[in-house]
Amino acid sequence: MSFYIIRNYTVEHLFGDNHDYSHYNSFNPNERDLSSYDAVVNFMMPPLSGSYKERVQGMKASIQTLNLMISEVKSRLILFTMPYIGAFHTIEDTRLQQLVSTYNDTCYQAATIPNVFCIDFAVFTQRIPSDSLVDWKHFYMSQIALNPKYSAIFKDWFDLQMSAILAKRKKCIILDLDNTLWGGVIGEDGLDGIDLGGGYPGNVYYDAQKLLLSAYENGVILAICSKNNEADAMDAIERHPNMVLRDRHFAIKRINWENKAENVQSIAASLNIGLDSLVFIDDNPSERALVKSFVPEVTVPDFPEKPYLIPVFINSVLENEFTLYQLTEEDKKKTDQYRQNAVRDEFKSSYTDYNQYLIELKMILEVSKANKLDIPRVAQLTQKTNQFNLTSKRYSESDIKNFIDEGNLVLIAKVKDRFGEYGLTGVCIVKINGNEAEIDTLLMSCRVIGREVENEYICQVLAYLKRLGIRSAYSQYIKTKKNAMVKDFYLKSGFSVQRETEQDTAYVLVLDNYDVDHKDIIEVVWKDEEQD
Amino acid sequence: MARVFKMDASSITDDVQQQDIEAWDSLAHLNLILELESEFDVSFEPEEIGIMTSMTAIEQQTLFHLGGKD
Repeated sequence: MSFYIIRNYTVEHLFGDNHDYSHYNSFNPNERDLSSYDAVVNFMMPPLSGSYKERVQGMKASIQTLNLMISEVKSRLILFTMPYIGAFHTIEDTRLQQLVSTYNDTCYQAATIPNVFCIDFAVFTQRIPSDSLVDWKHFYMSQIALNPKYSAIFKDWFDLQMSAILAKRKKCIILDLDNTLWGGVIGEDGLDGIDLGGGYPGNVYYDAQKLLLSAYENGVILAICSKNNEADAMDAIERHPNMVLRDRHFAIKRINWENKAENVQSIAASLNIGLDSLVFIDDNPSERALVKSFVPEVTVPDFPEKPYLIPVFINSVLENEFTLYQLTEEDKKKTDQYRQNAVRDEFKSSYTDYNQYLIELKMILEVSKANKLDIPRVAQLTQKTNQFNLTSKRYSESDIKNFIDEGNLVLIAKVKDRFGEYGLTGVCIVKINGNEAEIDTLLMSCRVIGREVENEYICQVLAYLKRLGIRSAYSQYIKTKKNAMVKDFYLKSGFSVQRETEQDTAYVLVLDNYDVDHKDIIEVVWKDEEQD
Repeated sequence: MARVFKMDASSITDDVQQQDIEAWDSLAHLNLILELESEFDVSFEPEEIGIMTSMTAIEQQTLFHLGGKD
């Protein structure tokens, strides 16, 4: 293989003489045919000598060269990050340190461009005692920045990085939790309720995890991206007796209610690997579609509909996307390294136009008063829903029937999107008292939340109350072990805190001043409003 | 030396000098020094590196360092 190597010091001893080298700290995109090389490699060190001012200028020049390269090189470009070493082994100044960070951040961010790869040089230098990184004799004689006695181990390490890059082998498998690593929904079914191990379907998930464990042992990085309360998920991961994969096996976790496309990007950024090194596994077709449309570089295989096909599916993903080559010890340590990097580095996750995605989902929120046929499902939802449930009051079918008979409002929400119907997934029970209303219950199934539906739902309820002539709406949040995600929901919806204790918070909203904040993301249908 | 200069080992005789070998430029000289330093686990001073421009001088300086180690 032949590279064009851009450098600011003598590096011939590191890469050998099959390559062409730039002048020191110089890059001219028109000087030669860059596509004739297997790759353009940028290897720069922070300035190791000179006055403070000269070193700052040297850093700025390297950053400029780097940016020029990123914008001009259309063929394969490999960027080394800079180690934090400075003149005489110490970076004594925060300004220089910041410039190195800027340089490295630029490398990491550029690595999301398909032809750009980033090699974290710190992974190499951290294994070397910092006072032996530079050999001053060779530095002053020949402008050699990296101590030549490390050339041999550098070559081996670099070859390993290159084979990973060139093999285009995927590096990381991002896994959903609910109905992917176990059957059921942890936030709803609880530690005892999920299917994992034992008979069907638990044995399916158990086997799938075994396959993933052996992939992990072969150097595949495992990551989690799941919509859940982190505490619930971690509880299952650490405490479920049949969990094969534990916390230590995952290099990175994104367990939250954020949009998964952003989570996937932040996983790639934190691990410092390209998006095209990721495989995204999720049982939910709309999450897969989101990731496919916003981060098209990520491989998103179709997930089987039948649980018994999951192990076969996982096996084929591992075979197709993570074709194993001869594994080295180094490779096996990789997961740990990536994990450390992820912990060490803080990254800005890139912005995706999430609103546009939501609009394309073509969600329809249908709000109506509950009728007799809805009562069993409404009662069931009050009993089962734990996470998006503001008061967690549990009701029987006859309780619900009584509410309706007493003239209270039971407003239900049905949700669909272009992937299908989610059915009756939201319940709001409002007690009416003259021109005041008290929201007794507000809940939504976790299948639909996190896509603005919940916000639209409360807006619609409040607008409806206003139309009825209600002047003040009261509401309450009662804390449970599982509903932390809705702690500030009423506050965000425009309510003001009336009083607050450790266990609950009471809110009020004067509807006279209330204006519906309709975002035009979700189509709202009011059904049979005037009947009943 | 043969490896550094991509030459047949048999053609490198004791009386070889830097000016005789086209490939023996400053970079090759550096590579040669680095190879010697790592092969024999020695470290040459800049003054020595400057004069190590012939096979004889290279042998002398290398043996000098190896002798000093024992």
